[in-house]
Amino acid sequence: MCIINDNPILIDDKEKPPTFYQVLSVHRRTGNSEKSIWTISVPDEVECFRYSYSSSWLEETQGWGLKVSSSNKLEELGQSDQGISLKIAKFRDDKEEKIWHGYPANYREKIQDKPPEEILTKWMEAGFISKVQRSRIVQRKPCNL
Amino acid sequence: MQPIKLRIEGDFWDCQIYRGRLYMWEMNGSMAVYNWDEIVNSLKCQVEDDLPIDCAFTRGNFLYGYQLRELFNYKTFKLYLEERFREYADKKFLIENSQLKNFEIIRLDNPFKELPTDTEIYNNNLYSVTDLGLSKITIHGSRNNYVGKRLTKLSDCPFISLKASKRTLALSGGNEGLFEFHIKSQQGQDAFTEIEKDSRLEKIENNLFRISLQHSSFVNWSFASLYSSSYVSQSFMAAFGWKKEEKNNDVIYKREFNRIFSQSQIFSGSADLSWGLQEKIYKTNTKSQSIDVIQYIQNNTNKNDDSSAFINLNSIQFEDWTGDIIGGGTSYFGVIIELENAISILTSNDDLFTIPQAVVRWRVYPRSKNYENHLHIISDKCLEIYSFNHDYFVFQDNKKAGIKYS
Repeated sequence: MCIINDNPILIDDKEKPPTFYQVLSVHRRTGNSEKSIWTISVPDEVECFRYSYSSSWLEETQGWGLKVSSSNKLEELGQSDQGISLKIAKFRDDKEEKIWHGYPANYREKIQDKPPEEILTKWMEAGFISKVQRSRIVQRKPCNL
Repeated sequence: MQPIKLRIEGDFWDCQIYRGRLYMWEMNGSMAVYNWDEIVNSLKCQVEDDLPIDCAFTRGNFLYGYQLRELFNYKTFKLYLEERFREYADKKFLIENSQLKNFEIIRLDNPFKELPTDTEIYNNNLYSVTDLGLSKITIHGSRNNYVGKRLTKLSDCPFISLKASKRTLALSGGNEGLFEFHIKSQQGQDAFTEIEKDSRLEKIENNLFRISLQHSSFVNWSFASLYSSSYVSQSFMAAFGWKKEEKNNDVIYKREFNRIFSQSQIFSGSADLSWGLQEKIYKTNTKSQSIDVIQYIQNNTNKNDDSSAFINLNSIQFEDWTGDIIGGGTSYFGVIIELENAISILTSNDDLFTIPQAVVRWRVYPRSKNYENHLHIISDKCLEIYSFNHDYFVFQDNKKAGIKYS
């Protein structure tokens, strides 16, 4: 499949209604102050969203994502404008049109970039994060995820 | 001298201790209040246990007492105490989860709905910040009212840290900045602040003011001032002072904002994490593997010469530097440094005590009257309470690690 930046693509999940995901070029260009950028490939970014969708990590207008390795470890998704490694993705559907976009979330810096309690509970129960890591995320402390 | 340690088993998220009661948030969504004095009494086996165990766990300020200071001049008294604290540091005090139920005063659904981001108890009120905002509930009432039934929402802003003093909550708001919430008296008046009249500070809501737009991860009080620490940018001191006013033959002092001092104005060198409490400000120095120490003199912040407000006390070598610095804190007994996989305490008697584990949360209570020697550490399956008892023997004026007891 050819993915063109800024064009919505259909995300088909057999058990859920179809939705769209848009790869935003603004989160793939360096030199944008205040914007984090993806370091994973475009297909991996889309897969990250697909995984969030099928795992029910999307709420009404915002959602959260991870890139989980085969050994259940979290992998880097992107970097902050300061070059800090980021392992949590945030997805948004601002206009409530089921057209989502996403970016690597910097929970330490931006208060709105922390996943809510329900999502952290799911991740902890799935073994993706520990109780220590969860607490550090909530307190916006540095955390080696 | 090693600390005395009590381990309480359970799956906890946060804790507070206040006026003989231990407040615990559990991962299952409940909050329980325990009779702390009874827990401590259960650790005693003989009458000789009373002094060391009480001083360690329920009367932390007793040995700082002015009347007892003279006794510390007697070598035998000092040696006796030191020996007792050493003896009890070797004991393993444990409260199993099944035993803990015996001390339960009340158990209820977490009144704040979510696991708290931070909590603070002040003047019989329990404050909490969550994603839903800042709320409070009354506590320490009598029977049937151990924890109030009505949750009061104070603000919708999702703050990430709070510390109370001077009828004010200091609040960190991450990239939204540093804030203050003023707790009004029952008459709705606050006679102790000039902040509402200060056009340099932004009024957000009725009692809520923004002190600075700079990033704030956690905050603490340095007398009337606030030291705001950040994990992502420069920390800073919001310097306040006291303005003397005479009214109807009475003299009152009003807290007023002075100015902001950035970390680079306070410390030279690298922009590593720094934090402050009362007269001490600390900064980690990754290059030299040490902790830089500054003494803060609030009265000098309105002088033209900035340097007179911040006196360099040089640095403390820190040889246990393994992994990233996660956080820092201060108490009378020393400086607490949270690392990726450990908590290290640079003690006020120039020793180093390390707890080699990653922790869920840790707390100290320097504002309390009985628990200022406590360090509470929540890990995966327990709460561990460390009681540090060396500071009674330390000359307070010369301390570099830890704030001065006065």
